[in-house]
Amino acid sequence: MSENDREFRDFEAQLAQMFEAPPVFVDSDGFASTVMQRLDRGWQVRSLVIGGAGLSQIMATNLIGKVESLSLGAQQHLVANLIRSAEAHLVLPSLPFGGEGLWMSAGLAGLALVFALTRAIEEY
Amino acid sequence: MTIIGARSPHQILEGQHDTALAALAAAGGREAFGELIRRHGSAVRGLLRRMGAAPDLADDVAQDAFLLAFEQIADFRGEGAFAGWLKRIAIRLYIRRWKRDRRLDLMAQTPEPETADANQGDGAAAGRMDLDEALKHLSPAERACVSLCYGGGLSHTEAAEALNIPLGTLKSHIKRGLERLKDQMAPQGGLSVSSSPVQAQSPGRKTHV
Repeated sequence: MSENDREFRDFEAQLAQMFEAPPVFVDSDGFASTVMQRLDRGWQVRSLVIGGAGLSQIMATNLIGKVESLSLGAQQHLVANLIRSAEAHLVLPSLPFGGEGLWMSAGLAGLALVFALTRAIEEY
Repeated sequence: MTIIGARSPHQILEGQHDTALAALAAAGGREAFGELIRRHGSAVRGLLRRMGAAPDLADDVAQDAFLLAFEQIADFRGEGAFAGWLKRIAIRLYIRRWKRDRRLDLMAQTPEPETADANQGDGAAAGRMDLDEALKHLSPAERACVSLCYGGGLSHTEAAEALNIPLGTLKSHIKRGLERLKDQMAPQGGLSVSSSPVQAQSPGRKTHV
């Protein structure tokens, strides 16, 4: 091994040693606190989401169970009532746009919701 | 009754090995993970800055790396050093950020590094420069390649894959980077390595004397 090679190897070893020594930051405690706060915030959001999902599932299951327990006649009566109520309150021709516009708006709102959710998940 | 010599939970954690702390964190021990952040925060932030990240970006990515590490802590089996595992997460996130932001085509651009100035400060005047100062004289590509391999502990193959460049290109960047570093750190012949290699580079960093 030539002198140059040896010198270069020594330099490499010293360089690795220098990289090993981490810099000292005056705000290292603040950094740790910030990470912990973000961790806590993410934990709370997750707890809320999981709790909310669980609650929704319980309510949906309860509702489905009640509908299932209704007799066939009662179910038909309920559906008819729902349709009648929708027709009474949701007058499509009176809207400034047609049914397609309504569906498109609903679709866009759904997309926006998904986008907002993914952003929130990414953030936390 | 006061127990003389009783240690606080924080002191107990301070005495634990990284692997033990990681195991505690995997079991939901937030305090244990907090201790890991305190231990390795500076190393991760420093590595990212040495790779060329601006201080704000480096801190942002470092925070994300710790959050991701907490999520994946169960994957850490203690086979290697925790610091190495963590650094790899940070490197992966930083490279992903590059790609996402599309503001740094690292390997395509090779702007001229800062030229050596005769009046760079005491370190340079004395014929010796600290690592962080010397790294500023490398091109972004050289800086990233050298930092990944010597600071991040990646092999040449791993670094080339991470940066998505051919192995030969990576080796060229490293070779040129090391030569430039060597020149910067020992301009008057013979490398003189400071016993305190890292000096203050930013307002947020302490100065080693």
